[in-house]
Amino acid sequence: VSGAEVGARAAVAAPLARPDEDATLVDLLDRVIDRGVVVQGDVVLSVAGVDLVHLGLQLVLRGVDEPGGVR
Amino acid sequence: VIHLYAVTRSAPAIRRSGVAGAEVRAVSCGGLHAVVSDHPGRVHAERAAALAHAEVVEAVAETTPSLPVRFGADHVDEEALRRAVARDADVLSRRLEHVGDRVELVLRFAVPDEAEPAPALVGSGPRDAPGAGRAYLRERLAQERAAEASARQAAQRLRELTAELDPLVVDVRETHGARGPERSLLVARAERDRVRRVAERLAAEHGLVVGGPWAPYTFAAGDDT
Repeated sequence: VSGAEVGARAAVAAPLARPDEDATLVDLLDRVIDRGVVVQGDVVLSVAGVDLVHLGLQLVLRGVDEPGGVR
Repeated sequence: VIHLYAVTRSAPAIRRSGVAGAEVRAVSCGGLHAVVSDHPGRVHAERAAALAHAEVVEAVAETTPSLPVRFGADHVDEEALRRAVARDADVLSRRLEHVGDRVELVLRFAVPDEAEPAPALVGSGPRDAPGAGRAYLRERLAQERAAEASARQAAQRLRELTAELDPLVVDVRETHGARGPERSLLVARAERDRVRRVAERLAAEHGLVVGGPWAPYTFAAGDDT
């Protein structure tokens, strides 16, 4: 699965081979990309492949001139 | 581009490299410190990058109270980062106080509860018959209600099975995800081994999975997730 984009939630949620250890790795990845504190910059770039909608609609995106770079 | 891992009160000891092998450093932002790495372009959301992020977060949390930052948004430069941290300084300080020196464990069912599959849609006459659309909507609504009831029951069952842990933890957050209901527990760092042992016993007895201890991602996010 390495190299799969974690931004695609389906890839994160996919069942993995070794039930216990890998299962909780999935729980950790869920937390890393979906929880944790969001420091709201007025200029932030999405990590490629992560939809910033996940980060909350309160994020104000402006002033970044990068085509497709900011969602 | 600056990638942010964690926010701390004291200057953290940095012990490892970060996403894509980048050097990890601390940026002083008012009374707080931001743990960051610098990247020539946008960071890509690969599994390896998310894991590297998590490893830096854990390494920092071992050395000083810290808030884990969500992987997903980077700052364009140090100035933008400082502004952002300054703007959120009050909230960040408050959350640091509440969760900074605590860890998170999670308990959920090993197999998402499939005991009560949603009832199949029953055909109630020809699709173009009068009232067919209304009947279809009624069935969909009944299905959704059944699924909600089933999710509530599963959450209640998980709550009962893990109730023994409640007096040992600081806070509990209940969520429902792709793998069914989960209970995230906020635990004092000093108690983590003890709580983990109890959690493992309950897991073995009731077919649950225990995750963590990790940095308190779920609680650092505040009440808005």
